[in-house]
Amino acid sequence: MTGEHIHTIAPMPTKKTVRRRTSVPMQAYRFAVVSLRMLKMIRRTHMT
Amino acid sequence: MARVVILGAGISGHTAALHLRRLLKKQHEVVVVSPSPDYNWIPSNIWVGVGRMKTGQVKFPLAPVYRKKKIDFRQAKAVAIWPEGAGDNHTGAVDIEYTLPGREGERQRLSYDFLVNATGPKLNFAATPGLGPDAGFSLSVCTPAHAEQTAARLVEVIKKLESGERQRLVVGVGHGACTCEGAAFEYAFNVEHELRVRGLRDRAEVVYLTNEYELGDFGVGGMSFEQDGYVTSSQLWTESLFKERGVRAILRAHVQRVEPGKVFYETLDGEEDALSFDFAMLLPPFRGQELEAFDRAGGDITSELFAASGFMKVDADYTPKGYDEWQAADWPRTYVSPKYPNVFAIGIAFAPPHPISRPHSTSSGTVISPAPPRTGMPSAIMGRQVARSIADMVNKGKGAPTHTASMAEMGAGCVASAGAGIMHGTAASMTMYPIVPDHGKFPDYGRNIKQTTGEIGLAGHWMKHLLHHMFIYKAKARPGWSFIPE
Repeated sequence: MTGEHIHTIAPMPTKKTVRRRTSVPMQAYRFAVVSLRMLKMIRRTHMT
Repeated sequence: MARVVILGAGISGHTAALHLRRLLKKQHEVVVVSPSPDYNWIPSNIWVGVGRMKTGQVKFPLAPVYRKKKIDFRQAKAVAIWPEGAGDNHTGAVDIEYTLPGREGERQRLSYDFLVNATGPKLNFAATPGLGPDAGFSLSVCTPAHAEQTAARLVEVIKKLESGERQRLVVGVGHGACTCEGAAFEYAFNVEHELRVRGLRDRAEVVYLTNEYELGDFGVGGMSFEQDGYVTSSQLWTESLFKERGVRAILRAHVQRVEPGKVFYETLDGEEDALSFDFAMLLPPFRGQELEAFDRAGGDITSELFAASGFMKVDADYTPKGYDEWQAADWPRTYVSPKYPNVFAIGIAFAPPHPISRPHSTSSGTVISPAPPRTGMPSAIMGRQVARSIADMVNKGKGAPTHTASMAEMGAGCVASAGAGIMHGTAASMTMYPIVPDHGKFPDYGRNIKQTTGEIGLAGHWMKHLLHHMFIYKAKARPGWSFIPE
């Protein structure tokens, strides 16, 4: 297909990484981290 | 008594209306003019498009909310602005045409003290022959009705796959100058996820067709962030996801036309090709709504108020410049019209001074690069800040806007779904600061790489689901709504 991009150098995630992405305990922790990160961004943006 | 008229009840207009009603005393009027009777939380339309949500979960009627908040709601579309007034009347006015059943086509002139243009985009399917679900051969998720239609078509594709047929699904953008690549990305990966959980993935080919120069551009020129001791890019990160999930990608493409079962496109190097499909969801390019403007004598001043794209000119620097001369300071801060200090434009309705991604075009002049996104969080923040400025102008007699919301000074949080499911869903959670790169402040990457982040996981899906409920609660103006940030 014209214009098709083949992702030759893109890294494949390991099985462990893929598992971690849907592991409930790990993701509960990441949810807290991402929430804090978002709140920080919101706080900074709402200070204007 | 002052009257503030807001054109549009999408994310920016509705946010502005609720804050204005909260900030202005009761004797002042807040009027909302919107052709649709409903509010639509557009970020969740992708889930309607894969059948995970019903349209009723992403929209609700505006009239009861506005009745409760004492906001005057006119179900109508704006057709003309008279910023200087008309004839002997020196008060600005806007002509509206009702879409309310029983009053369709009825015109009315509404005077205003302040006008906020939050009309959003015109979905410009006509820019590409054969594009779109109404007069063309491709599908869309831009409105709840479009998304519902797309979901029904996806069910047919799934049935064919279950019967053993092979199917090709093309998802992306239907023109070289489109924006909202993030939504196309989300829909592509949600479709891929739905096929995978049904065990049908091996019979389906999923192709992502985009005008982005590189994957991960998303119309913001891509992002750089720190990860495991390295500075990595959204390009590498996005390509990895495409590789992992087996989604093919056609980049740097402009769709020339769509015919039944076939999309014709050209790429930046000037080559042309056609791709057959069994299912195609291609987003349209945007342009401004069809609004005219007149001076007091009835002379046409549309080109003074609006850019050629139909979006309204505001306090940005529209001087044509080369990519390397673009500055963060070019971007608007107060969203006030340079000519009329009581007219504002927010959300998609304001004319951006230039793209964020590096522009590209073919040797024959076809532009193939994303237009800048200005939806979601930045739109809502513009709505709130303009409401605060107008409230200060009304309540305190301030002569100029007092609050700012430059996209070059604000950050954004973005959660891009890559598949729905409370236990098996995933989404890319991203933050970036600022949205428009500022190479003066951040010479290396244009953004603060500590505050520009991205990660993929189930947590992102939970976050997107939470945001869906939180923002619909807020839009319904339920108790405590104003404490929920934009």
